[in-house]
Amino acid sequence: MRSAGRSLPRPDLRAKLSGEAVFGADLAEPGMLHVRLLRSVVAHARIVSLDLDAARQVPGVVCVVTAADLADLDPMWGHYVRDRPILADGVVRFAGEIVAAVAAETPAAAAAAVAEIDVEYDELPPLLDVTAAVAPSAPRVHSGPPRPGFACPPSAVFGDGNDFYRWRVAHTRVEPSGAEDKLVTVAHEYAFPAVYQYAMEPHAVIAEHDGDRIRVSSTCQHPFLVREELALLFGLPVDRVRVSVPFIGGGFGSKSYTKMEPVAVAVARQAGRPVKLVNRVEDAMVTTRRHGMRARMRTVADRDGRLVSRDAEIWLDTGAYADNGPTVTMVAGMAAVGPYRWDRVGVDAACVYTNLPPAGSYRGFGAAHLQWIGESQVDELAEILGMDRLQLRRQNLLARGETMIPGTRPIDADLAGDLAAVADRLGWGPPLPGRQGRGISVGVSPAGASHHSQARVELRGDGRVAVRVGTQEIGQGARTVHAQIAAEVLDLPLDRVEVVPTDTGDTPYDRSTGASRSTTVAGLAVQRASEDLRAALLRTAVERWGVDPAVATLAGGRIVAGDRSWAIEEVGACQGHGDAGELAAGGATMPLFWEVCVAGAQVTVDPDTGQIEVRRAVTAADVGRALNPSLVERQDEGCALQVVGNALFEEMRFSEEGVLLNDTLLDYRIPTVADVPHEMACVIIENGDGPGPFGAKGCGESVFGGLVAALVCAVADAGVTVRELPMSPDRVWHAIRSES
Amino acid sequence: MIPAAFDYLRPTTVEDAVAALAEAGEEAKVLAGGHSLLPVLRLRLAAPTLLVDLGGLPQLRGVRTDGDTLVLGAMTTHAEVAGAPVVVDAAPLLAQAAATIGDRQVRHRGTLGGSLAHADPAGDLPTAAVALDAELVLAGPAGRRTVPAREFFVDYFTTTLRPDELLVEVRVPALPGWGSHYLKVNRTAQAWATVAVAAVVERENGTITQARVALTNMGPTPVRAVAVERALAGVPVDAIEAAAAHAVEGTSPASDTTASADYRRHLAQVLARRALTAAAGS
Repeated sequence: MRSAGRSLPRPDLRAKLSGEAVFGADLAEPGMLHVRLLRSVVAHARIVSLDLDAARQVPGVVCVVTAADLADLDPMWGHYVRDRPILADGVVRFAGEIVAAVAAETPAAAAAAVAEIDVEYDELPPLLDVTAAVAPSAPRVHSGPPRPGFACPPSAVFGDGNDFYRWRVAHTRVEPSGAEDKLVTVAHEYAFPAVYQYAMEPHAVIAEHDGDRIRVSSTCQHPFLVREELALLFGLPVDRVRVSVPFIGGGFGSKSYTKMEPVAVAVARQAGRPVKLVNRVEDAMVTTRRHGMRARMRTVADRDGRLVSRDAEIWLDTGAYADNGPTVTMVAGMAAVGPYRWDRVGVDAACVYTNLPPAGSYRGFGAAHLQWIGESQVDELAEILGMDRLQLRRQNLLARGETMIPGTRPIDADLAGDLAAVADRLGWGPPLPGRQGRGISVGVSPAGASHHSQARVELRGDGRVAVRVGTQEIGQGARTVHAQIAAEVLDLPLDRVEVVPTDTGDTPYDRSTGASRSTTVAGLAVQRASEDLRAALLRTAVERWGVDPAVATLAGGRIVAGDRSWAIEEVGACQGHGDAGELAAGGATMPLFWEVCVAGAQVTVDPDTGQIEVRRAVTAADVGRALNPSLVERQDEGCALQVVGNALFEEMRFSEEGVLLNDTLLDYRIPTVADVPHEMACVIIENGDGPGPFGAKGCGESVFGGLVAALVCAVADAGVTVRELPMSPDRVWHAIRSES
Repeated sequence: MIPAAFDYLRPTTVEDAVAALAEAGEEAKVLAGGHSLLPVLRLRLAAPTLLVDLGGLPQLRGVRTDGDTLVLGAMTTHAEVAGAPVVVDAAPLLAQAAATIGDRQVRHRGTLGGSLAHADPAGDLPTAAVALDAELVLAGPAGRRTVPAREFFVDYFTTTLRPDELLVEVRVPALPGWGSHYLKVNRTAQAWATVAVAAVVERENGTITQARVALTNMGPTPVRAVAVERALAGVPVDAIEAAAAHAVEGTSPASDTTASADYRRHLAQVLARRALTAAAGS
């Protein structure tokens, strides 16, 4: 292969390094106004009064918008649950909820006007954690049954408590047998903190609403779903809503689904002019975050080292609005099962409303929350049984073709091989002396999300090829890989292929940029569109030049037939279309593929200070075929660094009133290059077994499942058991002190 | 957020700077490296009407010796403090503490005087100054006065600087033959100190003759661990462990989003032991 499979540099590298790349906050429209938001300072209250007079008098202010201005709409949005008003309507349900929006000629005028708005709140008791929220006497965060959103799966079933969604599996493969005295059990409670995705660029939206058309430029990962949601909210057909996407400065899930677009469009509608809304970090942190979680798990093995059963109860704090919480809950529930041959498994995962800011997608969700819990219980069982931890896993691991959860795709990877590769690279062996430890973990996470991806590949008059695909370049390298796929099929040098930014007005449909689907699903659409273009070019050559179809081929930008050849541009403009829909055909079940979450870690713990030093982090990228090995490695490294933050020190802290305390980057620290593990290695595994182009499958999220778990297991191996993340020095020291 | 509107002045003499401060009174803020001031302005924790930028005062930048005293201009950057051979030679503790601040970019913009005048209890240089018994030279309308570092820090972000005064110079007595060490624990590599300890030790034939220990982030100001110092007068080096246990006496650490107070108290003892051991061994 000439393009696919090579570590070619990103075509967008120059633009990004030179500053030419245009990001959301750089955009401007003629006549544009600037929006600033008034956010609730309390976690739960009735709005008694809202005095806007002084704000409206501020020079430069064009309009002040509140829920009262949306009376002609059904202002509730949410792709999964339609539970969220564009602007708070009488009640605020979290500190940070948008109460009013000001549009003004300058950002300073808008900010000054926001400061002039007078709100009177009648405070209500807030529910600040899942335990309080699911108590029988707890008040409801939302009254009435959940309304399914436009992207809610038809199979979803809602309850009417604060635990409004549950994902359950109760499966008995064989009745557990054997005497009780032959069984060993571990059972504990665990907690995972709320954390912030921290994309370098917060959300930015430019919106225009001219009565019967909406035009939005937004830093969104899923522009087609945003289009659909805006059309629904503002009562327009989808073709009257256009969403375009500039370069995106990172997403990690924080820009998935709809976020700031509804309020921006509502203000533009009121102002009758284009408006610009740019979040700052403190806004972004209350826009979306990772779910905090509490869980109980119980794992049973027999004395021969056979894993017998597992039970788990999980409560995910989705905050005041569902966002993608039900999907996170489902994936967390699946991760709780673990890729082992259980006799019996029972998981009950609940998505719970609280009065904290809404939680949604963040890289590796579900797997990040649960894999470390299941894997640390496997380690504890190995310890009790006196077995090697790697060996206990090996002898219980599901093989390719075996089913983990009834009704889902059978395991489609060589988990034992992946585990062996990581163990080898990590240097698995006898226990390390002193306060050093090793950990290794294995899991799978459902990936691909949907087979709805289409692409169009266009030959231009200058002989260059444009790829139109609705996947967003969010730093992961999607544009590079899609260009490589087209270049490979069409046998063109990479610099003759350009992936065009998305505008829903003329880009084919792609459901979303997430769930590690861009290479696999959208990439398959690009491959098929390129093949379609190739066939169209050859058909034209047959027709126009009488070429023998049996010998005609494409090579180096020319149509070649024996000793005759023509430059492809001589054919003139030509297009190919591709659809990944066939991916799910043939009765295959979801997920489209299992993303393999295998990683290993070696740490040193300072028992006096509680500090953890990550000596070595090894990740497995089981990608079927690495279409760009360098990008695969960078994905795993970037994710490993985020894991360091999530596992070791990141945590959103809320006051007893439910107000975010560390809402700036001064207080909420993320890892920097100085926090990188001493050694990082990514083992790329290419078994050619992916459903994507050339046997590829997605990557980039698995490290969250694998490495959080490997770190927890490594710290336990070093003698410190931690069941609540992050493993901050303070918590580690307290754990050491409570043991001694 | 966007800072509130303010006037901006960039004087070229200390006298002009002081005069501007005297005229503006409490409404003025001094801009040195800006690393602490700019976030404060952007978060609107302060809304001064005037910023007096010291960037036009090269006379406040640089390091020299005056007999046995190291003299540092207030506008000397952390990078210069960390790297200047004369500092490394005469006050290695100060150089070491400066080298732990933030990241490379921060150290090339942040200043010694800014760090001291800002008086963040989690700041590294205030602790080093207190441990070294530095003297701070303040210029005001009536001339200059000198304040010992131990008296300079009054409370959280509060010093004895009057609104019309400018910190212009830091004078550090050289401690020839003493060993020193600055040791910090922070949650991420570039975060402020959770706790840090500065230790300076004079030894003679395996005996500690005197020691000075100061603590970062163990109260509203840098704290001298006097109980540790007392326990270390004229004792053998192996008395350090017992002495370090006194590091929590007289401290009042906070519980915050980074760490609990009891962890901070524990950490102060651990770091005091380690810093003293390193200082006594170096």
